[in-house]
Amino acid sequence: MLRHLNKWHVAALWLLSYLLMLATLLVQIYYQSATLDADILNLLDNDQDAMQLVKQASRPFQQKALLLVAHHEPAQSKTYIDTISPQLMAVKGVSSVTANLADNLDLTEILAAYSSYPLNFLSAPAQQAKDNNDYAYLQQRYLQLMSQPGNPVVSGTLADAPLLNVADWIIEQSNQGSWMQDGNYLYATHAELRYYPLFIELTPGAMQLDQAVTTVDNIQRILLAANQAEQFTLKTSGYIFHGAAVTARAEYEMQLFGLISLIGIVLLTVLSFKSVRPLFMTLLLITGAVTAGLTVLVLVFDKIHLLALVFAISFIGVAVDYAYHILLSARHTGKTGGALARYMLPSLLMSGGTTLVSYLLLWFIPIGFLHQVAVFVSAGLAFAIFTGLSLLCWFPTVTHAPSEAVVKIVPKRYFVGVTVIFVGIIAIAGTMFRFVDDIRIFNSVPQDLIENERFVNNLIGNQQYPRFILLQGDSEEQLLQKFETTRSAFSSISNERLVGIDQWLPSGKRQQDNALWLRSALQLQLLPLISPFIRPQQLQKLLNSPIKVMQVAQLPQSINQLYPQILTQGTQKYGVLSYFAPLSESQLARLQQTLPFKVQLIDQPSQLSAALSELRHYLGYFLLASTLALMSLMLLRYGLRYGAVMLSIPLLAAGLALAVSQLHSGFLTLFNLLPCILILALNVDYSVFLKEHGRQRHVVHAIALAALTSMLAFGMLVLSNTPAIKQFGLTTLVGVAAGWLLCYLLPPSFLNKENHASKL
Amino acid sequence: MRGLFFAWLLVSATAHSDTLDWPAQPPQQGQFEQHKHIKVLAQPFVSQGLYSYNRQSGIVWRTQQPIENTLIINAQGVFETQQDGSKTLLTANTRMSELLLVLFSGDEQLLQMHFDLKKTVNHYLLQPIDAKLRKLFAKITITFDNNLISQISLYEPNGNYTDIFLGERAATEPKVNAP
Repeated sequence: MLRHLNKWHVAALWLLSYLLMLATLLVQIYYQSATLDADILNLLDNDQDAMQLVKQASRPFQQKALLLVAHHEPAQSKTYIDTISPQLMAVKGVSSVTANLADNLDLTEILAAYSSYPLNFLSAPAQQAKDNNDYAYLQQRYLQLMSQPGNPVVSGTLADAPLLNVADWIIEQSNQGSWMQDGNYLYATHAELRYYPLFIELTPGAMQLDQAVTTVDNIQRILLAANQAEQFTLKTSGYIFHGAAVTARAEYEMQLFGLISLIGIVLLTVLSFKSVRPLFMTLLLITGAVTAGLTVLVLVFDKIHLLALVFAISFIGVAVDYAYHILLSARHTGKTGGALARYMLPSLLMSGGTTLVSYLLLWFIPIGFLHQVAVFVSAGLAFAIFTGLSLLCWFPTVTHAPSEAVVKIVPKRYFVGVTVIFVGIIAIAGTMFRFVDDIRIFNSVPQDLIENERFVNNLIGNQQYPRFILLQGDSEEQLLQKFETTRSAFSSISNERLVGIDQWLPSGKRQQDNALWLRSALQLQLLPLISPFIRPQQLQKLLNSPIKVMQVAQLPQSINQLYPQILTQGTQKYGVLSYFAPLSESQLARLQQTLPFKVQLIDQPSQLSAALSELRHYLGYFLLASTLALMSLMLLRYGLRYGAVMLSIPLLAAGLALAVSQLHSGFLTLFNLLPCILILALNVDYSVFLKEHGRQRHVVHAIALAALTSMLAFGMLVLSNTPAIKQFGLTTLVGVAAGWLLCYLLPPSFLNKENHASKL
Repeated sequence: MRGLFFAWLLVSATAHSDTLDWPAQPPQQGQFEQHKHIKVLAQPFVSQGLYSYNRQSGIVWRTQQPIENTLIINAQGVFETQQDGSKTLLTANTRMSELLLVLFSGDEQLLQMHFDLKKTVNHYLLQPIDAKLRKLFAKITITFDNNLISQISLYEPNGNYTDIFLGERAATEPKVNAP
């Protein structure tokens, strides 16, 4: 049937397939059946419940930003704050701006809410007095508060909570921590300068990477405009400033590197073929491969991780090599159509097949995003081979008569010498191999922002990068009781402040105990200094009203929004307490030992590091499995001797790439290991084409072109200021260059084209 | 005609803030007596003690009866002195701190910024401009005696009021170090 095919039949078949895929993809995108996920915490699927809770708990902190303003004349700082506050409020993505956190608390609402439970709440000293059954504190505090010249909390609670225990409790909770007060402004002092804070709350949308850059740009513009007349010292703190800085730089780098490498690749391709048509054909092959990968991806997965796309699209670059091999084979052999397809079929199936098998092994790793890479690359490569065998074989560029020739043979000693050097470097560096998974080494935040964070941290302590204690309970009440037990145990191991919703809501049991204790004091007339001021009807109400318990639902809105919510999953309730300064392992172990129930301690940097470590280990297993699969295929097709030689090229190239990366950086990371997949895939292709077609000019030319374009595309990444991208680029550059060199020097005796077809 | 005469008297006795003549308050100290008339209390709450004021350290408010308690009110806020000598910042009291400091400072600019002022012969009627302050105080009256504040009356919107009598300027200032 193939004999009756002409090039237009093939073109129509390809076009039909492509349009079918494109239509499917567009329909899927239109109906948004698949969404894009950019959260690094979602890379690993394990312990998903905890991940979700931590993400929800950290969101309020991520949406906060802090600005510190200092001037040698404090009044100027306050004027500056007053000037920029309304301007910042007008910025899209900013939800609130305040100079004093107390402004965010609706005092009237708080006083009304807590006064409804007049006997339930006791401040810490009052709670201690209760534990000692000592009513002296209550009376003393009552007289103190009443003596003060006008306290709105006292007058606001006195009618319903006449013992002033509620006023005492609210005054204690409203404490502003390490800030000092200047009228309605807060401040902290450093080197005789007052730093006035401006607390900025952002909307969830503002934290999206693309929006973050715009939001921060707008904020900076306002700060600069207001800073022109007087020179203020400004310090910023918050996730958004980091996210925006890193995103802006990554965008700039990607655009710059992408443009340079694109120009380079176009020039190399055009110069190699001296025609634009091969460039167009190569572009068709890439477009088809990417469309196929994306279509299958959106059909199989509901949520696609951004990182999967990034890696998958970079690996699809392997497919470009097929275009070069086909087009250069056509040019140098004069073959076209079915003849060219038959000529290319074994090598394409072998190189594509080995890559496909390698990537399909990712299915056995229990990490969702790697499954997505496998699906994308498999579909993409399959369609690339189809495009190659159909479109490119039937529409090649044969501009002149066949000019096939064998490339000059390089003496064997060069190959041996280079191999020995490579093995030596690998052996030396191999003894130093050290993998590091600490997320902080990937930190590419500009130094001035890091300095700002350090300054803010030293001045007022860490306020925005919390660590979490995750607690679980059968009910809200059980959870609140666990909060209290944890808080008490925590205070015995650290002076660090524990932040949680229980600060404003004691457990029902504690509320009832408090109420009963106060009621018994009234019944037994143990408050002689307070009693004369209480009206009889107030007393009767306190004594006879049923004791109600405040629950989360009754918390004032302005308080509820300050803390991570209690979440329900199935029959369980989950909640988090947060703290800021890191605790030592022994402190954390002591905390767990003290508690009669299990808590989950979550330190996000450690959690991310652990996620990277797990990912790296899985990639290590994958690389091992890929190597074994490649070895099997090579041995099956080429026999022991040639198979071993051909496998040694990608392995040596990957080994050298890791060795050079280790020697360069002093350590290795996941982002040095990831490109090894690419190095193996590219170098297997180089050696397969060499083996299948011999050391012919078109093969060597195609390998050189493929290697150069890969080196250009990935090598540019070495110039990146983002550590992970730089590591990826360096390893790929060295691996591809080393593989190319080895292939070029590979002696003909190692490539002796024997009758291996019989082994199939 | 008699109505017109009384109207003229009223107008002439009432000066608006643009003719404010608030006596500047020198550093001073003395005794105070505070009477809180709160509707829900079975009887007024009376406290007594010593106070001092100067522009740098603010107000020291030392209650001696019915309990020993010291508050320091200055530009940094309201601090309560604890039994161990440490000072706790009372953040919920910031409006009150601002208010008292403004009254004692006699700073006309600040007074006009916070209040709509009306002056009669020897006392001032202050009505808060700021909505938040208005929630706390409906009006405030200040009485002067020899150009020194002798009485402050704070009227809350709910009908409660507090009279603070300042007098018998003592020679000794309450000994508390401002933070």
